[in-house]
Amino acid sequence: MRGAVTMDEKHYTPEQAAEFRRRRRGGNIAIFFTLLAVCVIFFAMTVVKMGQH
Amino acid sequence: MADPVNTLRAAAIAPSLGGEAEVRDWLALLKPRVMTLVVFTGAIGIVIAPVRLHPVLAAIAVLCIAVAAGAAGAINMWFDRDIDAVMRRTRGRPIPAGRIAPGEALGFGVGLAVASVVLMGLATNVVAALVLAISIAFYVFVYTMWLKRRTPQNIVIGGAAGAFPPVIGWAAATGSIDVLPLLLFALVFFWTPPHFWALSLYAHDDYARAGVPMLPVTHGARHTRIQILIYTVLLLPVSVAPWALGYLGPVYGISALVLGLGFLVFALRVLADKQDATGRSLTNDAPARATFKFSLLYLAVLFAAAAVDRLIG
Repeated sequence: MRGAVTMDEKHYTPEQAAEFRRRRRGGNIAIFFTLLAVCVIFFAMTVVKMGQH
Repeated sequence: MADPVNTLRAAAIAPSLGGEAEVRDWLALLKPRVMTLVVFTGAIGIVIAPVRLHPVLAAIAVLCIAVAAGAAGAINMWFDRDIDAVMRRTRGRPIPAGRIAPGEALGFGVGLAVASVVLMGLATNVVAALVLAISIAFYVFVYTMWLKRRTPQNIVIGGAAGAFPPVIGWAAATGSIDVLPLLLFALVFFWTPPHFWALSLYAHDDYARAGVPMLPVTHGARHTRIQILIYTVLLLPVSVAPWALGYLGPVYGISALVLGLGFLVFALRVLADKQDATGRSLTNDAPARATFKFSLLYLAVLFAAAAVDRLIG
């Protein structure tokens, strides 16, 4: 949620808060793609394994 | 009176509170440059195996080797955060720079280590997963926690951790361990000392400041130069063995001979470098720097030759 303010953020200047949000957004995107990759890996692995039996 | 090295280390890690990490900091924890060679030698282990692994499973196995190496690197950075903070080469790393908290790095490393072993077991077989787990444990417990700060033989014995990938790759494809991957293990094992000692010759001051007992710190540069030459000489027959014993063909054999003789020339140049009375270089360690770079090329080309040999053979 874009407008959410954390405990840490209350002590930030506007510039620091913007930087904090930028880093948090980057982290969230990285986690999204990591989880997506895990899903793809397990799907592909399952398909291959089922095809071998 | 407090040990000055320990005081320096403690002061240097004080600001490490974490909370400002970016994605690239988490990636840096995985030591991506080290990972490159590990991934390559692991992939070659799969390629030269006599059993063809499905490409998807082979890709997952290589990913597991990469993630496991990264996980071990992250745990290493957690444990070594005090010495990393006082070494010029490593003080910009995420933990000593205060961008990632030590506990977060440890959790990240352990989580990835467990995930990589479980995934390897599911995608390939138990043997590969077991050897992968042993390689992580060896790097973390034997090298990082036990040997690194205690003995100048740290990278000789600890070098075994980096020698596991071809064995893991082979095991992923075949479900067993054979003579050829063990010979490649021995190759990386004997390659590691001259590779790291060449680096430690010109990173001597860093290691001395951090109190890490690398060979140039404990026994001097001259002794290190001699040891580099000894291990390079030992490396030559070890590298030729897979060809001499009939496991690999002439492409690999000739490559091993030529590259091995080249490595010897570099080691002799390190020995003959202009030195002061203590053996310290008067040429800014130019031969040692060149030897370090050549050692990387040596291993990459030799493993590539092994793959070519197997593919055309």
